[in-house]
Amino acid sequence: MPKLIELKDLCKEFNNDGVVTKVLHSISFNIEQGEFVAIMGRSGSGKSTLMNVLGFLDKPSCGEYHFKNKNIKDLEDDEMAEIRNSQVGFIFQSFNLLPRTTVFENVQLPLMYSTVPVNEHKKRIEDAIALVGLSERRDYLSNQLSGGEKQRVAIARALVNKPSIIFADEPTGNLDSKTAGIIMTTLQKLDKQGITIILVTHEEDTAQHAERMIKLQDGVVVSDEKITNRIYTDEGAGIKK
Amino acid sequence: MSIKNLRASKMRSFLTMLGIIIGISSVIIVLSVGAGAESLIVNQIRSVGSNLVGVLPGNSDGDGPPAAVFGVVITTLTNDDKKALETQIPEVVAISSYVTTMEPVTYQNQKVTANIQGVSEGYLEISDSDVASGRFILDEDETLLSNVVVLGSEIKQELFNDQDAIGQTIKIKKRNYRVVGVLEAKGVVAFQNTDKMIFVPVTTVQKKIVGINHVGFIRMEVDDEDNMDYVVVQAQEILRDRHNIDNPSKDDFEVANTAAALGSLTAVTSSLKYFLVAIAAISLVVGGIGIMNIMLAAVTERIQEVGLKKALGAKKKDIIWQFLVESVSITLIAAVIGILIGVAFSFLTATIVRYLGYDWDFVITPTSLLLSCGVSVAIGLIFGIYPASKASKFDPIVALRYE
Repeated sequence: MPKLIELKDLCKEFNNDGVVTKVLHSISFNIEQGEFVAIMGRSGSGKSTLMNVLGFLDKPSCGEYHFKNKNIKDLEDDEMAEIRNSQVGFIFQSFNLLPRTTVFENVQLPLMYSTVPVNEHKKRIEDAIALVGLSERRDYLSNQLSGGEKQRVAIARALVNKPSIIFADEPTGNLDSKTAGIIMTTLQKLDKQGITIILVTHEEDTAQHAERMIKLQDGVVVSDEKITNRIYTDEGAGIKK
Repeated sequence: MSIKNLRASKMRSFLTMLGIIIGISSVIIVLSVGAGAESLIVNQIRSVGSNLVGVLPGNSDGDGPPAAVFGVVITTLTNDDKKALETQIPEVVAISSYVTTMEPVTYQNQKVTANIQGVSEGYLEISDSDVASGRFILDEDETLLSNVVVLGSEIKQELFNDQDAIGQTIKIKKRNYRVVGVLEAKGVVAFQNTDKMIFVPVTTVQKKIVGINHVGFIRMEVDDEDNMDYVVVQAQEILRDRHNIDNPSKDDFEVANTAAALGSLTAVTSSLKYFLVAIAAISLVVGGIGIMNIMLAAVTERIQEVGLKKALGAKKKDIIWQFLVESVSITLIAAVIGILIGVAFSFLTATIVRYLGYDWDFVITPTSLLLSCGVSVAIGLIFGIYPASKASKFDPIVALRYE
């Protein structure tokens, strides 16, 4: 499997009015194309910061981050935006859909900043909505949807630009266990189609759906191992929380 | 998407637009009504007649109008001055003194307050008026202080209806006056409806009705346009001689041709117009500040949306573009509403003024419309760029977490 992400001694510091806080310390690991990796850690462990760096929302303070063999250190803000748009899909804990906007338009959003020809938009959007099983909700406004439906719209939005990697930041954090199961099953399905998925969570059970778990504590990787007893949730069965 | 955001907060968008709407409609109204008023004044003055030279009592300071225009009574000009001008300048083809007053006029049981105009025989020629029946005032009437009147067409109707007025007697200040003529309808001239006037020999008005020795002003018609300047100079010299004035700066009269008066009045109206446009422009600036205010509020309110869009790949220019389109949409919609209101108001003004019998052009120049739209777009851009660039600089991580 080709390497998608290579981290070498990556660190991240924040400077708040002269007070320097080091959040990530010399992190090194690789992620291969098509892997389903869970980044686990309690709050304050630095997992969100790590996701921001991996997801091109933030830059590392030191060390190296190669994405598809390219060093991202020298990228400008707009180049980062371009990579986010074309390579990355985000799924957030609080869904982050545009209010008073239809499912269709929400899913369309990343396409508006992409180079995908306009005549392909409609098909792409409809395919993505179909993939998460919301075709009949296409013209609903985002605030008319349930939490689970909202997150599925967010997944469709993450997929619409055919990214090579999806970052899911506590995607089940605001959902009941049954709905959470559906979301995790959907992610596993996407993984099977060859999309790399990085799941950031503090819940052991959610993390167990991945095939590899990287544990973070105080900004350091404390363990990085393959999950042996991986959970496959049948759709609608629910997961333990 | 920008339009959608505007619709989501209709009331707020509307209030924001109000400043621009008022500004744009004011500009349109001022320009249109200004042009209309200009046309009205020009037409009114032209309707007085061409090749006219006026003599007003009192001197004007520099370029301003003479004091008589402001209602100051000056008694230096007399009917003898008129006689002197008449006999000494051969280029003058008609001349009339004017004394104006308002008096109650009675015919049998009818009583109306009418505008009494004391004039000379020359009035008919100067004002391009025509006698409908009977005759006009003659030089002999002026010499003899005859008790004769000539009626404007409307006042004739008021007093006599369709009955023949010639030979009838009307009463002004307890004296009897014989109606010797009725004029054709002429309409409003120089803002005065001559059809409602009663014409009386100027000397009769002076002595028997008002009790004065001076005249309001003198007007004369010159035989040729080329002789206008010459006649003005001649009149000045004759009057200076008669009034014993050796220094022109001490003139107690003002001789002017109507073309010059036209020029100065047009200058006044157009400078007034630009002054009003400048005031309207201030309201546009105020409106622009309102736009900036509302856009800054919108930027803060939608910080999460901006964060999300940036996370999904929106570049700085995408965000700037979005907010600029929004602010320009606001100002452009406001401009269109402002133009509609302005045009409607101008049209209403023109309709009303025309209904009142004046000659008023309804002018909306394409330039003023284009200018309004252009200025609005510029305001949207100028006052939208700061909020837009502020939004584009949000850190997506911070913006996404913002509650």
